[in-house]
Amino acid sequence: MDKDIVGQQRSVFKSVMFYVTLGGLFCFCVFPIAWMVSTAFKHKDDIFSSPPKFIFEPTLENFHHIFTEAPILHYLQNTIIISVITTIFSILVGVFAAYALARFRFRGKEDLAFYILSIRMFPPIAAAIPIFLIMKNLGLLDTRISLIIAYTTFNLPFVVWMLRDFISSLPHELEEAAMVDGKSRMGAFFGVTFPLLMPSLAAVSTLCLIFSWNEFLFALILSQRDAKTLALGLTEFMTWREIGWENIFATATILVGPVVLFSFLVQKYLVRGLTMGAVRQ
Amino acid sequence: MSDGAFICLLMAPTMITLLAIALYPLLYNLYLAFHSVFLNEPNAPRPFIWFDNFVSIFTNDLVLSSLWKSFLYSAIVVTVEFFFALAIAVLLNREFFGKRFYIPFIILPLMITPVVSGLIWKYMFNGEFGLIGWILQSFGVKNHSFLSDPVTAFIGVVIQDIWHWTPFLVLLFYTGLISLPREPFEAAAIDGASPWQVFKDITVPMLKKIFLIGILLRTMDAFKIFDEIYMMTQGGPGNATETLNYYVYRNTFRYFNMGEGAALALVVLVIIIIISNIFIKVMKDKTETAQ
Repeated sequence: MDKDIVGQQRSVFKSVMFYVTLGGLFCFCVFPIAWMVSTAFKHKDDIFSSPPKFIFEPTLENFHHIFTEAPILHYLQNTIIISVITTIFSILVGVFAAYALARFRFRGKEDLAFYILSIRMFPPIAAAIPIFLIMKNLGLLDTRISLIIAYTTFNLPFVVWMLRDFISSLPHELEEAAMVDGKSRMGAFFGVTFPLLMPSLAAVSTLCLIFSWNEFLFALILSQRDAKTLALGLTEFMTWREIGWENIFATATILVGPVVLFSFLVQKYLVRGLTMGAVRQ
Repeated sequence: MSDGAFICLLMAPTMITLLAIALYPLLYNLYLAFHSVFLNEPNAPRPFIWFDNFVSIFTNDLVLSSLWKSFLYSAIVVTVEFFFALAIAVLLNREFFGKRFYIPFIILPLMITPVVSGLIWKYMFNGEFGLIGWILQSFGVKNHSFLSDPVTAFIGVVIQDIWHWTPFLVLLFYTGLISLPREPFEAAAIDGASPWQVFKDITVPMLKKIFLIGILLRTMDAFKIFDEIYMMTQGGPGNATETLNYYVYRNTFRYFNMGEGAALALVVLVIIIIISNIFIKVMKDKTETAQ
């Protein structure tokens, strides 16, 4: 009897410790983000109070400020346009190469595929310096097109590599059956395999959008004002005099909101996307 | 149309695009590294200077110290994140109340834009109104501006990295754990193995590939880190948090020595290529055994 009670106590204790740990972990992960979002809704005076204020009267004035008195809306537009165009271009161009790499056999195919993958993994700084000079010589500094081109350097290889992986996992037989029915090779691909590819296309597109949305280095180097992206726009409120935290975090909330949303949508493919297909969920 | 011609047609748009926007800049970078090019003197001649740029960067103390900082930073964050994430993944590998709802929140830090992550922690580490200082004060530690002291600034960026990236490894390891086959564990239970023995002799060996992938990817990313440092410390105070990648940016776009910057960028590139080749080798291994 005694042994039973001790055993029970021990497992209750273990259970409690388990949930306490989970709770602590939850707080550690979520709290900084919640703190940021709450700051976005604070009046300026509430931000500098010490000790920090947890209970306050929320206000929308920061969001109002960043959209009316600061060019945040313009930056948001830039980010959207750039991200969408680079993604669309990468998908349209990359899907054909992915199909060729997945469905055909030719000499040097594997090597080519891995070369394309390694482009994806290059440090941005290695491309940023020459691209900066090239864009300068072309007179394309501070234009959206320069950023679209820069972002395509990592989106296109990503698209090709990931779609190749996805297409490879779709059975050959479907296309072969369609070809037996008289369809051409491309016809078979677009009619039969392509529709099955839709979820993967959506996932890869979303990941490209996320990468482009979050990008900072190229934006920092290549844009100044006209093509400034939202991520770079966070520096708008950092002057030599002061840092406007309330405005920064209001901007950050706008920046991060869609990204978190998109990330949730592709949760199923997140591991696969982030490990370049090395690990599947 | 023959197969060969068809393949070329399919690959052409991609290859042309990559040649133009990826290969060409890389070759241009190579060119720059061997010439003396200064942006603030656009009309000056650009003499071929052999390896002068490389000599000057490898004899530059700042470069060597930033290289050391990169290695130190990568080593610390990858190690801490590895063990932290493994513990969490193991912890999560069971049924518990609210699990479905819980896991997305643990992944949340990973989804935050890197610059924003840097900003959040810069804010929390602030000397006057930062949250971290307030918490430490209640433990009796005097508040001071974390990011103004070389040692604590480095630690601060490390802590930020741990918060931001551990969820990636958690997700990776957790994916690995749940895809492990049941049989070895059932056999071990029958044989009466202790949880630690099971972990040591079954779980860990089977997860080796995933561990390797996680470590390689994190090491590459840690080496490339930029956004967070830009936001949090700008490499400072002094050079305390100036990793190689950040140093390349600062040096090139402040002193406009494009030739030297390109040479430095090549160094970073070579290091990344070495690591990514190991990663690709691991991937190739995996696909071969799968077939």
